[in-house]
Amino acid sequence: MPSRIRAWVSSVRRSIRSIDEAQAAMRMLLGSWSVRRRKRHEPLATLVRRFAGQASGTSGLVPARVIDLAWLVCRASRGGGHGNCLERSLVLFRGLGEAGVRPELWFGVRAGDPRSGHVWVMLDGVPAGDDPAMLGDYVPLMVFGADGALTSGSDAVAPPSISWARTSEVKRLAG
Amino acid sequence: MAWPGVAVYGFDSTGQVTAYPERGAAPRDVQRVFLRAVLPAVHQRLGWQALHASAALTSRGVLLFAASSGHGKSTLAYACRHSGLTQWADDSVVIGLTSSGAVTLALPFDFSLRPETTRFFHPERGAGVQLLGRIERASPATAPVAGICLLHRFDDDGQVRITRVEPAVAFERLLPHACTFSMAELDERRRTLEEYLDLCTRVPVWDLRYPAGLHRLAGVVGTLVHHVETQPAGAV
Repeated sequence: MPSRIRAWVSSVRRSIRSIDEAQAAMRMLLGSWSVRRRKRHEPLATLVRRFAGQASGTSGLVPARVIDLAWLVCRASRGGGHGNCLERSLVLFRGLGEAGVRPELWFGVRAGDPRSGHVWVMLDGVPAGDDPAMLGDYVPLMVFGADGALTSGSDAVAPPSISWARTSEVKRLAG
Repeated sequence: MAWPGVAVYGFDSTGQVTAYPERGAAPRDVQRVFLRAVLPAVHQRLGWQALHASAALTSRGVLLFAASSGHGKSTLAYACRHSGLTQWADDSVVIGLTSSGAVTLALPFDFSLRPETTRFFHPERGAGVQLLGRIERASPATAPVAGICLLHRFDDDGQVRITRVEPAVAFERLLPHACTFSMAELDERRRTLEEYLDLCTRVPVWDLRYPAGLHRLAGVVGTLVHHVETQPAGAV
């Protein structure tokens, strides 16, 4: 096992405080693997609905611990770094839902680059583990409610508008 | 981007478009070409993809109808609207593909119905009237892509048939509907091919075979929406 992964596994073991947390972490790990497999052939809305409101073993945990565990597990499952945002967010979204709160799943793209997307979870208007300064680089496009339904799209990406060239410019172009 | 007889359109890196109308061009034509051809092209240049399709919003996201011109995609999208769904697009759909999923962006668009179609949906307007209209922008303005239907209208009295198309076959059949405005550049061509491959893998593509006849459209829409909204999303 590479030393980096060994270090993360060791970190997960140190961070888990009870049997309940160990079980929840295991369910989260399985969930993140499931997302990794399914995201290649399932549309986003189907994935979100699949995860919304499902049992994740976190019903006895407080939301702050669910957030810590989801970040920890998803980092470990990827061998370090920040993990994958979709895997982490769906696992966290499901875990928080079962812990009795109503999270929202946000989807955005980096301003000016629609190919660079990011998914994150918001709880009571606050990012669940994501750095708010980093999220400032993203334009929110969609929000899914705790039941997995699309609650709102965004007007943040305004369509290009048209303006008319002055007559002199048109003449110069024609000339 | 030059549109002979209408205007030359220029755009900057933020996507803002300036129109240089040709002498005598009607303002409504300049606006019409902007909505129908320039907006999708600008978005493609800004990193989105544009597909020649109409679309409607369901509870599972946006359902796209891809077909060549004259094969019923505008009529089907309008029938969705008539059935209470939100019409998302009439002729082209802008799609963003990220590693997390496919999302589509609502744009303003014009629509037009042939006189016989207008008469079917709006008999009060009388015969020989062509319905023209403009949708400023659907709300919400962004939504996930739920799936893509390749339309096949046939003349016999058969039933609506919806069958899933394998990703490799879907890619081959969807690519002709891609709005390709700048395929001259190798990088752009590669990006388009990669993103369509990705789209066909991650979003279901269905063959929708349905009988001709305007009176059958409500049934077609009902069957289709039921199919999309009852796609299994079982336990993980």
